[in-house]
Order: sequence, then C-alpha cells, then structure tokens
Amino acid sequence: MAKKKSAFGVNIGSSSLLLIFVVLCLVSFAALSIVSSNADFKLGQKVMERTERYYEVSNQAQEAIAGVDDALAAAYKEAGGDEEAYFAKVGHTSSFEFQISDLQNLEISLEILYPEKAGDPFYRITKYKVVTNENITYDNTLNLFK
Amino acid sequence: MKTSKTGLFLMELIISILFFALAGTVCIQLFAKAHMLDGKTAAENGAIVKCEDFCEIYYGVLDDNPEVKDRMAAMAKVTGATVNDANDLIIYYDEKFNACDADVATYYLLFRDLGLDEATGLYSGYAKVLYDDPANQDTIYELTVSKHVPNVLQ
Repeated sequence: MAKKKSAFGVNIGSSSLLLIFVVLCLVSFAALSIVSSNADFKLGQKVMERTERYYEVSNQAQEAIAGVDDALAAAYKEAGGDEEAYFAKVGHTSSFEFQISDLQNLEISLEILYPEKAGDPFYRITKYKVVTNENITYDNTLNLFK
Repeated sequence: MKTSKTGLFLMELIISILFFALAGTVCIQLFAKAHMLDGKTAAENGAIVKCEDFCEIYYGVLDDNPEVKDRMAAMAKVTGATVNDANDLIIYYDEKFNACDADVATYYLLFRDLGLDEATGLYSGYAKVLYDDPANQDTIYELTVSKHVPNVLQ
C-alpha cells in the first residue's frame, strides 16, 4: 500500500532539517566573520603601537643627534681652527642605538666632519636603520596529532 | 488523522520560525558587530598610513624651508592639502581614504607645524586624522614627529 503524502506535499520533520542546516550555516558564517574582523582589529592595533613606538624612538634619536651637533659646534669653537685638536676631542664617528621593541632597534651612525667654509655641517648621517635582532628563533612547529 | 498531521506540521513550522528568529537575531548582531569592527579597523589603518605620509613629508621639507609658511606651502604642493589661516594643513578623505571635497568627506587630516623648540633644538609637528562628522569628531590617530636641522658653520 502506497504511503499517503501530507496535505502540503512536505513530510513532517523536513522543515526542522532545513532549519538546522540554515541555522548552522548562519552561526558558522557569523562566527567566522567576527573572528576574522577581530583578528584584523588586533593586527591593526599592533601596527598602531609599532608605528607610535617607531616615531617615539625616532624623536628620541633626533634629540640625541641635536645634542651631538651642539657638542660638535662647541668643540669646533674650542679647537680654534685646529683640525687635529677638534678630531682628537670628538673622534671621527659617533653611533647610538635605540630600542623599538624586543626584536628591533634603531641604529644610527654619524660621520663627524670638519667644516671648512660657511654652510658646511658638522656631521653626516651614514646610517639610520631599523635593525632586526639576529637571534630570533622562529616557531616552525605545527600542532599535529601523533 | 489528516487533521492531526496538519496540526503537527504547523506546530513544527511555528517552532522552527521561532527558533530561526532567535538564532537570526543573535547572528545578525554578530554580523553587525563584525561590520562595525571592520569599519573601525579600516579607519585606523587608513589614518596610520596618512599620518605617516605627512610626517615623512615634513621630514623632507624641513631642511630647505626654514619658515613655517614655506614648509606648509611645500607640503601642500606635494600632498594636495590646503593651508588654512592658522598655517595648518587640512585634507579631506572619503571612506576609502581617497582625497575628496569637504562636503562628501568622511575623515579629514590636520597637520600642524609646531616650529622650532629652542630647548631641544628640534622642529616638530603633528598629524592627526579625525572623523568629519559634527556628531563625532573623535581623533582616530595622531602622530608627533620631530627633526633636528643640522647646524652649519656661520
């Protein structure tokens, strides 16, 4: 004997199955979208902090360079035209390093110059570079079932 | 028998719709939250890039332009910003951070040159990006930059 179909041509339970499928899809996509945008937001915050820190350190570095420049101008005046005495006092190079993060430093090197005519500077920047530490150990492992 | 089956089906449909409405409400809230977070992230990322651009351009124009007015004019030429009466640079951006007119802007950037600080010997300025909305004029991002202009033999 053939089974009798329901009044709407749909069996009881099929709407529940459809609902379960649709709700599962909705929940999955909602969870994925919130996780993805949260990850983007966290990355954005890290970039923001890193940029702020870089400019903070860069400003400190400029302050240090200004200090060296003033000291060089004073030493030049003291030396009274004696180039050897000038270099004996200030040396030929000056370097400093500022920490940006645990992994990166801002390294600066200056070449000390002896100005000979009006308009000549007292130093030249030979290095102004963000250097990443060499002793980084990358995590190349994967969480695999054994 | 037919009546009870139809009744059961309708009951199931009603419960399904109720459950779907509940689940839908929660999921739409999550989608909306994700969308808002995406918008905030996009605004912050765009603001960082624009502030960095202006700070680096400031570095570039400092050596050749000792006067604030000249510096701002040089920066305006490069960036397409306008200089206002207070010698600040202002540029308007749409929601994708493309330069646009003030009346259709979503954000704007303001760059102020603070000039030479005699105590430290540094020229400094700051760039900040704000929402161009009378109801919300929060600063999205702000960056301060300083630079020493080398002394030269007089």
